[in-house]
Amino acid sequence: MENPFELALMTIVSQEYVKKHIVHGTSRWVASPGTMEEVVSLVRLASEYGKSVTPIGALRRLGTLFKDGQAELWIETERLCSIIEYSPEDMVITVGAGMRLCDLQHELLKFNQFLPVDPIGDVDETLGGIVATNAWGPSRALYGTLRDHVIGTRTVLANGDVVRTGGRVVKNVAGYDLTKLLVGSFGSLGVMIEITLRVRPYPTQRTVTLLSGSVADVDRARAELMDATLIPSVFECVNTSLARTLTSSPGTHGALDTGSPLTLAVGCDEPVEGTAFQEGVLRAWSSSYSLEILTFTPEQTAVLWEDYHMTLRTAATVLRVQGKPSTLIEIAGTLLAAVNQERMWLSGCIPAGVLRLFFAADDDAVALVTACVSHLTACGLSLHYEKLPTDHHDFPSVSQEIAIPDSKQTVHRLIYQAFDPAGLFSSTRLGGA
Amino acid sequence: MVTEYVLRKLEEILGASNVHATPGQVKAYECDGYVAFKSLPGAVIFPQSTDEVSHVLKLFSEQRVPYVARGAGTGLSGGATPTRGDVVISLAKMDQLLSLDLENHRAVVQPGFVNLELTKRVAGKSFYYAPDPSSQSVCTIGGNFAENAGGSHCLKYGVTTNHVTAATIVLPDGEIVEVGSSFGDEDGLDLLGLYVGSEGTLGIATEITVKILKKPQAVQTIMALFDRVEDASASVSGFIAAGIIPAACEMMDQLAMQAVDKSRYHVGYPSDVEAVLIVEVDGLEATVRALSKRVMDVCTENHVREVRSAKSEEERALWWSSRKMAFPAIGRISPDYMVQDGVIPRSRLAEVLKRIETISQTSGLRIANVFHAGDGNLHPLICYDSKKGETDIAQDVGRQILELCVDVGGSITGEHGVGIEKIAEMRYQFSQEELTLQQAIRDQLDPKGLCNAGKLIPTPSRCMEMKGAASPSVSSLEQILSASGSPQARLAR
Repeated sequence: MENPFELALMTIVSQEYVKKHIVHGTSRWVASPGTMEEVVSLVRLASEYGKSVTPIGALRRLGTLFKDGQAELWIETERLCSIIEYSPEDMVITVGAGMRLCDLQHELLKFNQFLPVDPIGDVDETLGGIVATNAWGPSRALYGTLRDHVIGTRTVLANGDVVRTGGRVVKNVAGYDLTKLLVGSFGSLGVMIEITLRVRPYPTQRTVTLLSGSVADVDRARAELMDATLIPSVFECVNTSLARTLTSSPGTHGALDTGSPLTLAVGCDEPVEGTAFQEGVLRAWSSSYSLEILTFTPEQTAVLWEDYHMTLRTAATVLRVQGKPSTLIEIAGTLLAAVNQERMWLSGCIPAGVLRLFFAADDDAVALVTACVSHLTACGLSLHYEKLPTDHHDFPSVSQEIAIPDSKQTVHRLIYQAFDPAGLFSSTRLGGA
Repeated sequence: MVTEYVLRKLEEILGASNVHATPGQVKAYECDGYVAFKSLPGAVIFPQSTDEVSHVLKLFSEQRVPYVARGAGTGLSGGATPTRGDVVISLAKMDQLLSLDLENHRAVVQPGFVNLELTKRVAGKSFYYAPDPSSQSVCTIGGNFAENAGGSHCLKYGVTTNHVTAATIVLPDGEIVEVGSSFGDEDGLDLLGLYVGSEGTLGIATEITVKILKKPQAVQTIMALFDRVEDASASVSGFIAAGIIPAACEMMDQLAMQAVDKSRYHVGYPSDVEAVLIVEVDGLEATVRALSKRVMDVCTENHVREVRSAKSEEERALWWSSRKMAFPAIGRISPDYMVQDGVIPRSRLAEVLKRIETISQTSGLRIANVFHAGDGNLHPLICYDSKKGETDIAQDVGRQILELCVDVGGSITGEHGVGIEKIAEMRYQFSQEELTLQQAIRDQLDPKGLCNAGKLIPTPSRCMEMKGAASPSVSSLEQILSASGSPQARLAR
């Protein structure tokens, strides 16, 4: 016998856009609406039937970190993927939340513009997904995160209301900045259906320089760079195994002594004259601090970042550590000396104060993650999982649920009460339940 | 009305010298930089720590005392103006730089710390604090936080929300909460993002962590004079098309130039040019010269009459003073003026300026235009004479301009905030559903409605009252706010 909820779903979106899954004996549905009206109807229907809802894009990020991720209705935004408005002159674009990042960049490049984010993940991730998770990559060092680039959304709330947050102009302080709340909210406040982004001119060239050496010497270069007037577009610290991957392509293979424990990747998006100047300064530091230096051409740089992303997107577990930039190299150094770093990759955005550890899905992962957690916890650092494998029960429980102080939990609850008093969307991930 | 009991309790918490309640003591706090409405506060108090603010808000919550936090009072939308005998919580004595970590590019300040003072403290080490509102020599970082202040350099460097990384907030019930994260990302929802720009309606920030940046290696400032406003506007678009994001890109029209040239910041603008652009590029020395040349080339392609770069630091400073002092300079050519703060898509600049000119001609009021051309943030300065009964016309002109900004896809405010001034226009920009959501957040965080009440979000009841719009003699703000959508009633503000 047909389920009445399922029948009702099919009156909103045609049968081909509704999929049913049985999980542990319970029915779950994935619906792919093609219009705003369909999203509204789906949300209202779920509310009427008391079904929990999770919005999803390409389903690359939410994964197991949703404790209550088994929502009864998953609203997939992949069909909401058109360009709604693009004004290159204003450097502002509005797109459907289901648009893939790679497609967006392709469109922007036609006008020599780009969205300066490079989240570590699959190439077919949707804008909605990366915005909902505030995902980022090495470009954060110069360009910030999506928090700095998303200037507006159109969002369907739990009661079916459609609201615009922010706007389509780069400066706007009218009312509360609800866009900021939505970025990184993991779909817990509503279904984002449109996203407005501030974009930038594509740099005339993009290059990178690697500086490798001992922990102490790399830390000296770190301090110099923090205090310099250079403009690093990337300021990333990576470990040996990742550095080896980055220098494995023809033209750079074997050019760097990958025996050094740490490597700084310093990017430059400046015109030719600026790049030459910046590389000159880095070269001078390399001789002052006995660092090995390897400079990449723009073509080699593109390959390097492709390799970087291809490697790290295979990680099944990602652990995040935050601290003062001045402490990160030392933290990385002591950690790498304490564990077997051959089985993991470390990459940290120094000016942002974040290190991330990426672990492959293998038999040793649990032991290695446990060793890292144990070492870092002993250093008094707070840790967070950004990603966990499906079967993660043996992993140390640093923050499967993010540890948020009580006072802040209260504010979270109040905000969820305002957005979604009936608790239609999943908010456990962010301490809302 | 603040009761004797409350005053006594306040004296116990803060000390008698930090509680002012006589009309003479509180008179100076009857408005902020938006002077069209004034109202005496019930008292003015001066807490000096997060704990004192917490104790005060607990008392106010318990006794249901309305209040408004205030920095330097330079805001231009009435956000720090008391409306119902509120207690003004002046943060002027919370003016300390709590910590400075140059190595990690962070500073922690109390809310009363003056914006420019931070840059002065770190300038010796070649650092600066990027948000630079025109009032930066006196405005406070707490005020900037509440209004999400911008400035001339936010085209490239962003506004306050892009430079604050964490804050200590005292909630309306007196609880203390830490939002944001000095480094890395905030766990959970971006509460810091919500609090920045919330105009003091959700709590009071008592400690603010900000980024401090290294000064650019080189800066070049260019002045370009245009015979036609359209050519200046086209040049701004031309910069972007050429892939240049200037550090700043400011424009003034003929009337604004004439006004500022009458002040002590006399540049000597030719009287017949229609627009001046002040463009700044910065970065590595190796690239700035080429960037500067490209900016000048774009201006030349757009029929510039004269374009040149500043020859000295003194000349650059004069040009910037001329721009930053343009608002007060209007006082030299008009007995009264009103400044607006709408934002438009940059690509609509020429069209919108034409329509503003039409509004000016139709209304008979002169309008000087000073604006952040790079990010489309307009500051039309509407000249009027209140003694000639032109206030209502000026208010209506302001409304028309803001509605025009919304019509072309923009916003009613880019950096001054809504406050009292633009509360009616919120209805023009936002749908009822959008306002309801914002009000729901406010109701959750400030259920007793004590925290800067009557600002930012128009309520349905006021909308109803609006229909019975008051006469120009209305003196109660409640009625004035209620009626703020009607030009007749706005006259009273």
